Amino acid sequence: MTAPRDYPNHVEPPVPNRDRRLTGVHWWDPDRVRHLDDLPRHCPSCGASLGDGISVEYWEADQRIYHTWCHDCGWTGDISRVRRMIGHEADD
Amino acid sequence: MLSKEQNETLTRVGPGTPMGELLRRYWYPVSFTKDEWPIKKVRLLGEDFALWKTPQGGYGIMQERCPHRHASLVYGVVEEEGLRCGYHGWLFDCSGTCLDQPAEPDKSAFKDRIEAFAGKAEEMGGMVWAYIGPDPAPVLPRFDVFVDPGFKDVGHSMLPCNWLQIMENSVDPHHVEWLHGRYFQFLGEQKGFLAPPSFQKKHVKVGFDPMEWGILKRRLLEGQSEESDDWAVGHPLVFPYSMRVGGAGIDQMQIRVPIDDTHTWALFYSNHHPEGLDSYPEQIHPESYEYEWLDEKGDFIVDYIEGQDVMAWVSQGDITDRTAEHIGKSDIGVITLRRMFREQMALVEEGKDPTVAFTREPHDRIELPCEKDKFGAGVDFALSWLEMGSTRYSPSLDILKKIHIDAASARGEMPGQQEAAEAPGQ
Repeated sequence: MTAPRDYPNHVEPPVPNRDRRLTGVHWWDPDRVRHLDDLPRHCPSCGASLGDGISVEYWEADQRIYHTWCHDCGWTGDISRVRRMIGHEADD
Repeated sequence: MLSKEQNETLTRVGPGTPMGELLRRYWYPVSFTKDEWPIKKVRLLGEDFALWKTPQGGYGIMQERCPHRHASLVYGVVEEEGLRCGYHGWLFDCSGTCLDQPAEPDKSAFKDRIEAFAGKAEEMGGMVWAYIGPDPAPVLPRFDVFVDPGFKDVGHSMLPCNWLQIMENSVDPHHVEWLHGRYFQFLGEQKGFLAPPSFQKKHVKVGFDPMEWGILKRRLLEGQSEESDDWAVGHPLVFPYSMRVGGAGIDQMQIRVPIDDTHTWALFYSNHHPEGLDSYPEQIHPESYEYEWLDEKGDFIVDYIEGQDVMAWVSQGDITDRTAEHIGKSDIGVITLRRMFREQMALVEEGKDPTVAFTREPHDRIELPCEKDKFGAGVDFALSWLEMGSTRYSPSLDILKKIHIDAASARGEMPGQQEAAEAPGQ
């Protein structure tokens, strides 16, 4: 597993056992592993399981974002995992 | 990227599946009325049916297998009262009620215990439309393309892929400038033809608005203002299985009938009615024909617009593996569609009617928003459509070209007319 570019000392955790259910030609794809790790499982508004809703992952630059709809309360929004809080950055 | 469970939920169309239950709340075209048949087999949403023409001029549709011992009712007999099984003569009316079991004793009430599943079937726009969901059925939406006057032309083919990957293409405007723009140009450079330049314009921005009939799709192309039809009007994905497109006097409904999980009947139903003409060549039935999408070697035919689309849809596999996709900001239309499907599925799971593209109001015509000035290309767009689209397989291609050229001439828009009008002394 390669380390994220902005964390030279970061060690990616081993693939959890549950990810062994990944099958098919892309079973080793680290994106798919991270997808399963980060997939929101509960609504950030009401806490209900998102099993009856939907959470679709998409990428915007380095951000991995889950567009999410909660079946129970109707909350709709984007959820993104934050690995580092970053303020303004000077242009290169 | 989706989980495996989410992908299954969105793609399986059989009875008892969440998507299958949602899709069973809508009407689907299942046949052309012009075809010569008294009874025919049709497959829809993973189930097989017998469709028949009644002596009264209507249509009936019911489960293919006779409830008796499961022989196919497609090999039955059409009678005044309904469809009679060819095996032992059981007779069913259009509602599925068993009217007769000729081999049973005269006093038997056995037939009163038998009911076959029957749907509803109606004619509209030269096609038979079927509803196989629960009662009460919604009203068949009479969209403008099917009921407006004009010259109607329908290309169709059975494609070996799930219907959803075709629908996702309908909320993906960026593919136009690449698949039909740059890729088409590349092919043209190799093979020595001029690809339509209007498809090569760069997208500046795209927009998606959920609306009563589906999702209104807008695009702003390089050189356009927000007052352009492509942005100000746009065109809709018509939920759950169509897309309304058009421009330059062509109105088209792209129809993707989910036959089962891995097959889709893909139709391009066009109504040609360019401004400048008051009448059109007479038609008893719409022109209909199969468009080709594989060549004799089994390769995709990609030198026309819809052939390129078919390549993109079918080459994803029978059901594309969305657990391995990588989608980005330019795919927000796809995300919007998936969310709409999930929301509507949830309503049906709760015992409610869908709220998108579902109506119980009787009506004569539903007008859908659709840009008229497509890509700012005028009559050139119409002619590109005819020659570089699936219409090239139409037996009525020459008639269609004449319709658009005559209309452009009547409007004074044919090349040479404007120059002549602007020339000194004219």
